[in-house]
Amino acid sequence: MAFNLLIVDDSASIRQIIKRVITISGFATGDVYEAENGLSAYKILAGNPVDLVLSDVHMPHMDGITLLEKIKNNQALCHIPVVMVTTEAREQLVDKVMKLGAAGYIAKPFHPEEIKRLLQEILGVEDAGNDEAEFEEGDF
Amino acid sequence: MLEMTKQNLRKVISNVLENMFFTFIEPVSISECAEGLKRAYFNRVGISLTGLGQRLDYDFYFDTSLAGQMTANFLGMEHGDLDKNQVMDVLKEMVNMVAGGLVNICDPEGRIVLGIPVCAEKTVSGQSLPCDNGDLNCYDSDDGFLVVCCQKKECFS
Repeated sequence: MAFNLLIVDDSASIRQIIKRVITISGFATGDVYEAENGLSAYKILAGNPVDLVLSDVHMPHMDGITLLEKIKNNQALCHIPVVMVTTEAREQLVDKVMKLGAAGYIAKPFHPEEIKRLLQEILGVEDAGNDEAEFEEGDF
Repeated sequence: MLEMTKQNLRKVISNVLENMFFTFIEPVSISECAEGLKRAYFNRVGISLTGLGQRLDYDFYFDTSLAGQMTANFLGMEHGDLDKNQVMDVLKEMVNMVAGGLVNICDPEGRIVLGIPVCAEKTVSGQSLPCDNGDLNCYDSDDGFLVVCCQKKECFS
């Protein structure tokens, strides 16, 4: 089964890294959408089927927390798991986003294994299928 | 008083650079690297941290060679294939991670707000590194210097 993903971050480099990590992990991906902020992300969600959202917190125009709230308050979208990928790992913020309904939280800097493990857990995939996928320096 | 110690700054910068950029740094004194700094050109990225009645402005100065190598390492590309926007984007992200790491250590209660990093379009000559009223932290790497300047700009009543 192929998963449609939405990656939300104002950094093109981070979006590229996350895409690369997911590809190397061997997850079957369908369409991979990208957005620079929550506003663009929400528009993408309105018109396209997405199975998982990975979102930064601090972004211009609409931040990740507002995006998360809007997704969870929208009946048509609230089933979509949202994972926050962000520099902020303070307990207060982590608690807040988890209470808002985030499916997971990854703090930057991250190791690709963390994303792989969390995605396996959320998407219910036991093994991403790529037994030889070992992350090495420069892979991400 | 908002205080980010030199040790915390070094710890966080090292953690980010080693884990995400495969780059290693050592702190050096300004006097040790003064001549080298003057000959170099730097990419500048600024970020503000606001809270507890204060605003701290951090300016990160990356030797352009270091900036390019960090970007190449991060994106898994050759140095020569990079464009300016990629370098600026990666440097902003590095500063974002460092600032986030600092507040994670120094402000677990969440009273400090992180700004959004801003990268200057033009490079800065080492001869004109401005930090008259601030705290200057200098680090050396195989690819050039990283200089971090912290200035307390305003106090809110």
